Amino acid sequence: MKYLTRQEELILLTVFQLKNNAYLVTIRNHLKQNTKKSWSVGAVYVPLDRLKQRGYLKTRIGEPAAKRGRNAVKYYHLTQDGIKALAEIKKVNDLLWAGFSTESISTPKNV
Amino acid sequence: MKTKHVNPSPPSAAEWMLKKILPDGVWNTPLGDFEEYYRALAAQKGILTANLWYWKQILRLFPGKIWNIFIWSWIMIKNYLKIILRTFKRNKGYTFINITGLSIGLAGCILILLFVHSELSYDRFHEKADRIYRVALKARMGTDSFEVANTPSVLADTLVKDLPEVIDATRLFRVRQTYIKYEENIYKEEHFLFADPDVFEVFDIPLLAGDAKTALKQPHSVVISAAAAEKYFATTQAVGKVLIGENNQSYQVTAVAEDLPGNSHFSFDFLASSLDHEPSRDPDWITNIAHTYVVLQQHIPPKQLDEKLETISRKYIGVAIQKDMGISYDDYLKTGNYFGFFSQPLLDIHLHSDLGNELGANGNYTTVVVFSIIAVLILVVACINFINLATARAAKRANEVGIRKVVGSFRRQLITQFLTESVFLSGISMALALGLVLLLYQMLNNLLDINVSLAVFQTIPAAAGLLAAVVVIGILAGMYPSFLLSSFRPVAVLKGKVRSGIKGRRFRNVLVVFQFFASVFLFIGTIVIFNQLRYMKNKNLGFNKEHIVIVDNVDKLGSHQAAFKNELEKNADIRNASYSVGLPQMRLNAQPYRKEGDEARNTFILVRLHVDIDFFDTYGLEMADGRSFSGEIGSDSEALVINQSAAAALEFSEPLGKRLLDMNNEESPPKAIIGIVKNFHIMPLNESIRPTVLTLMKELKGDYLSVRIRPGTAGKVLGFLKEKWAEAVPSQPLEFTFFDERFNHHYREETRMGKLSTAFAVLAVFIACLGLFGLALFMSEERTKEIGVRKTLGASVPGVVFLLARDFAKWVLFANILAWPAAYFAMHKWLQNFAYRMGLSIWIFLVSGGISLAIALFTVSYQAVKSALANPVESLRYE
Repeated sequence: MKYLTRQEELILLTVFQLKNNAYLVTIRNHLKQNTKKSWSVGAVYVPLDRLKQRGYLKTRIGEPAAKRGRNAVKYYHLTQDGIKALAEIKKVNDLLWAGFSTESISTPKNV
Repeated sequence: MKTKHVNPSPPSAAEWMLKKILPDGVWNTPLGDFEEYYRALAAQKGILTANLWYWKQILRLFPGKIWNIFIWSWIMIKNYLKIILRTFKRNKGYTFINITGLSIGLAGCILILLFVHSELSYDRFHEKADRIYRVALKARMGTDSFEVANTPSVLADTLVKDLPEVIDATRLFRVRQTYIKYEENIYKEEHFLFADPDVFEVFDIPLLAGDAKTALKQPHSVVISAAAAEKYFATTQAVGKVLIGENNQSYQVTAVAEDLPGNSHFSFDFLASSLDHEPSRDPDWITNIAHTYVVLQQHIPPKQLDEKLETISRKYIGVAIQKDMGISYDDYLKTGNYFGFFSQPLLDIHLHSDLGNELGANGNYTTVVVFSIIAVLILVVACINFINLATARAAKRANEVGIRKVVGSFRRQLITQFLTESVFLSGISMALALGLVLLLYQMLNNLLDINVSLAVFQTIPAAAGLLAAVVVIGILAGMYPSFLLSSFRPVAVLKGKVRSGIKGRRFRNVLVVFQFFASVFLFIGTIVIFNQLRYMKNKNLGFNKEHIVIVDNVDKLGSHQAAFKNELEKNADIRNASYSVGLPQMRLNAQPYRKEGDEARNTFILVRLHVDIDFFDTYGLEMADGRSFSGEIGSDSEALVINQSAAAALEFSEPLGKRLLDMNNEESPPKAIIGIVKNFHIMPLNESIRPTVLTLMKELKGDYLSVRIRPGTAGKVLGFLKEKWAEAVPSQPLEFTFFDERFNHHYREETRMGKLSTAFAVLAVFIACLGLFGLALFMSEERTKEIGVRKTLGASVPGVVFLLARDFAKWVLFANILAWPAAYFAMHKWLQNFAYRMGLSIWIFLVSGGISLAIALFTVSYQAVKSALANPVESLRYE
């Protein structure tokens, strides 16, 4: 399996967190809140598109809304592959993060 | 107060741009995303921040979008080019026909436009060109009227003094020809003008050396052209040198001017100070010798100048008329006569002015218009070839279109592809055409006796124009075929339901008819022009124009004219010799005459020719009544001979013995009419025979000597003339012309038209036939099988040829029927320019029809015979 980039990983997780309300605006807001960094529109669109092409995400066109100037909304949902990919990442992460705490790391004095 | 926006929405311009930038078909959800953000931002931080944010997003999208367009267009064009090159390679014959036709057509068109451009650009290089006017004179006396470009010498100063609108006025005086001497060399100069010192303030004449302000301020000063400086001094550093003119007048060179561009209505090699020209101080309002130019203040309508000129005419000419005729100017106008000034814009002089005494040969606006129309016709005929071949062969490419559509090509893309193809083709043709122009423009210059330069191509507008022409021609020629080709339905095409050549057949026939219409039209025009030329050249002029040598400048003989003539008459090869002032077929001056004792003081304008006693014999004129001048009768120097037309105009019951008064010379006694000569063409043939009077020179003081020689002795006689001339006038060479050559030179404009219309008629026919050849090639390919079947069933070869040729012959005939009336009207109108013209005989039309049909059939029959001779086995075997 090809590894996801950090951006893609975060976006995939955000879609998971937002359940049925994941579309561009909510995804970007959620990311901004949690990472405390600015995400440009393109920085969200492009990975979303790539994840969809890989089959980790699928889209659903919602109803047009007044607050969107009568434009339809495009919701993103995880696919089975997407869920598998997240599980895989979690597994690897858990293994590699095991026993991590800031105090437990000591650096050799001579270095 | 801060207004609260309940429902703020993004600026509509920004929204529209965003829509355009986003990829096709996906814009509606992203647009929603952007709008939702925008609203949140507006509610949070105010509408200004939100607007800024929205615009920033668009700016950030731009570079990517442009890059995208660029990349994809390039990829598509690369693909189109590949397909185009393959198509060209596969259809070498058609491509060749297309490119040949179009490039020849374009080359012809460009050559004509070069000529038209040069004609239209006359005198525009003067900075004040739009404010400079020439003042000219118009007169009408009885049935005679004339307009001349020259005016009284005093006019210029008067205009500046009397009219506040006139800032400056300057005069030019023409000297027909003169001799200039420097050290041992003497040259004849034909471009010698006297000019007022302020000429440089009116016209832009750039000087290479010398100061324009002072150049002509002093008498005996002259400004010479760079060409003249090179000729006399072999350098343009000529300021300070001294030249000797006529009557041993010396001129000091005060400045050297750049040679005026070819598109100037006057040109000079010598511009001498008018202070040396005695007539420039003539206070008379009746003598017209100066070309007067005025500069107006900004924004003065020309009408205002004309109105003011009328008051000037009334004020000054009125006085002269009062003195001469004893009636006031108003009474004079009431009699239906007219004598007054009018103005001509400088920029109109070359194309719209054909007055007497112009400074140089002017162009003709009609010629320019006709040439432009021909240029467009040629181009259209060439474009039609492309359209015809492309539509005829549409079905061949139908499969390509079908497959492209099946794999997802939009119709717009197909149209773009075909248009790219035709633009590419027109680009290649343009490149070839420019090459042809480069090769041929000198030939055109020689043929038409004009001076067109290619310098205009170095300007940016011209280059841009050529590029635009490539695109426009490509699109015009490719439009119909591309719409037709892209309209095919893929299912029908792939099932093989589209039959070749059916689509657009009617349209194609219309175009073929148009091509041959244009060709036949030009054909008829050519024949008529040449017939008229031949008619004029061979017309019986009422005198014998053959075997006459004209000796110019015989005034140089001074008092030896009689002796020189006596010498000549000793030669047995010389039949007669006669001095005259002016010659038949030249534009001669007309003079006002009055009948003796006429109380009403009616004026008759008579063309006057001053001759000696041998004139009638030399030109073979016949008398209708009375006698011609005789050397024995002394009183003949006070006598007149008039022509029949004058006899009719004067309305004498018995003209012989009646006396006429020369109104320009009222002190001299009236002269008696002793004879009436039969009408002869004293003026060029565009004019009818005008009332004419011949007067006898008291002493021999002609400016031309006409020598009638025995046929076949020209070489011998010329040698003899040169020898005798050298004895009489050692300082100047003999100058001579043959009368019939001079005569032919009058018809330069018509000869030019004839040559050009021949060249382009041939071109049009060639291009049209090229197209026809292509169509025939295609049609016979299409009908290979049909021909095979016919031959198997027993059709003869001529029968098959007839079958194939009939289709085309029908349309060429139809084109003829349309072209005949059109050509008839056009040429009938053209012939109205000539007082003496030939009729439009039916044969001209039949002959040009026959020729066009023959050429068309010849073109078609090559293919027709080839396919008719083919073995039917070959054509039927492949199924």
